Amino acid sequence: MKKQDFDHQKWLAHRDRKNRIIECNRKRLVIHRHRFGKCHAINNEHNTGAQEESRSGVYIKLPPTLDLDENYEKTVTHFRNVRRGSQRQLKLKSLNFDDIEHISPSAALLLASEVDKWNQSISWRLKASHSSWKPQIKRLLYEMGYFELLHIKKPTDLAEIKNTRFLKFIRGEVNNKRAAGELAKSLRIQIENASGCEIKRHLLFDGLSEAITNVTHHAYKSKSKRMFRMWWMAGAFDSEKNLVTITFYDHGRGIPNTLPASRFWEKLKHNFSSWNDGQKIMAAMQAGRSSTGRSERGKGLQNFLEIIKSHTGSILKIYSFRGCLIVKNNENTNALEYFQRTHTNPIQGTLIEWSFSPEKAIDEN
Amino acid sequence: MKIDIAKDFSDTPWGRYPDDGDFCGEIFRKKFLLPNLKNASVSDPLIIKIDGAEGFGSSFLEEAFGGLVRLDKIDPAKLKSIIKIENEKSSFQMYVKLIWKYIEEAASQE
Repeated sequence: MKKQDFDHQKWLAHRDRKNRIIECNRKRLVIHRHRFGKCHAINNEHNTGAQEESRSGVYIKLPPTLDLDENYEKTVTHFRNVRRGSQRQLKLKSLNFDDIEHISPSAALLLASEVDKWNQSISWRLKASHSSWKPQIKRLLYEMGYFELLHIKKPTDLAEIKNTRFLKFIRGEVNNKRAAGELAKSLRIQIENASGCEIKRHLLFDGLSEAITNVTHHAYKSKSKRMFRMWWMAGAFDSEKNLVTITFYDHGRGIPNTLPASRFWEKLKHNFSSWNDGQKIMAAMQAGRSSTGRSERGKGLQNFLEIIKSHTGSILKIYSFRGCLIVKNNENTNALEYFQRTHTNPIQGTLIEWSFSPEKAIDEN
Repeated sequence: MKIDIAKDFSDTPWGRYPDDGDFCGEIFRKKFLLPNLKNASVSDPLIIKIDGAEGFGSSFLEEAFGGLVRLDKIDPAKLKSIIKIENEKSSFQMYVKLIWKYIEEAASQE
């Protein structure tokens, strides 16, 4: 065999091996292949008349519980697959909401962001059929703005509002220089209208505005396409617990991936992969820590804590990549308690969640 | 001389650099603070009213006020004598403390 033939054989073997790996990964990720004609949750109907390749695709059925507290790994794995679908790594044809029985405010925002991005990636051509969704889920997602997002009319069979109300999610873009502050203000007004309580607006604004600033400075690479440099925020109000939940999410690189190991022991642990993502988020909360290395920077994450410091029993959760930091305001002492953990699957971005009861505000004087 | 941030600049000031937004700390410092500080004196200080804004993130405050020392090289002692921060809401007292804190921190890093 000539050398040229040998190289060609080698290349063919390499190509076959690569194709087998791609196929294997696809099979692992796909819940099952689905004929387009049977899709019924959210379909890209634009492709209905297309050829064989577009007649088949990936069908993802969302689990009954979408909640980062109760069902973290399964929830983020499903959303990761939706993301892969919207990025065309999978031929995502359908996303089925029929089994969803419970969705937390944070999971609802994650889902909204993925559906929003998917819809944008196909020029707003997503369609939905909601007839088999659970009534309460339909109500919550309607309130959150899914129906507007998908350009479908208000359903006539909406369930009554129970304890929890979702507020309309808000999308922002990194390069929109005028809107961010106004959007944060509009979310605060929505929350006050839903809860009927005046909230500590300045502390909420400080947290949200710093979250937006962090996204602009750190989350995305500057060369990212416009549609990949977005952030989303939303709110919810539970009238039974009198609990306000505010969530902010970006699809960026995540705090653990942008925070440098600045101290000797951190560098050592980082090199031996024993500085986990939860510990990295905890380190980022320390004042003055910034990926820029500049002393005047790195104060922003402290702003996330202000609303927690000023409400008894409130909780801040930061999920970023595989890490999670939870800061609780102790009901009895008002002292802040820190917990961190690291998960198996990454959240692909950073999600910040504040939950507090407006009636448990601590007097600032 | 008086600057009412909410009325004269924005009721939703946020961010550090112009890349963040049009109502960021750097623009406020360059377009509002520096021109007015040129004419301010001990007898006629620059009054900065902070009430009315939605809030102030630390990036905005640090860049606007810490930047006066760090970047524009104004003596912090002089700033203390020619700037007066005005607020009616007790909840906004925290911002007054933060402004002076960022000025002091910028001075200590010089």
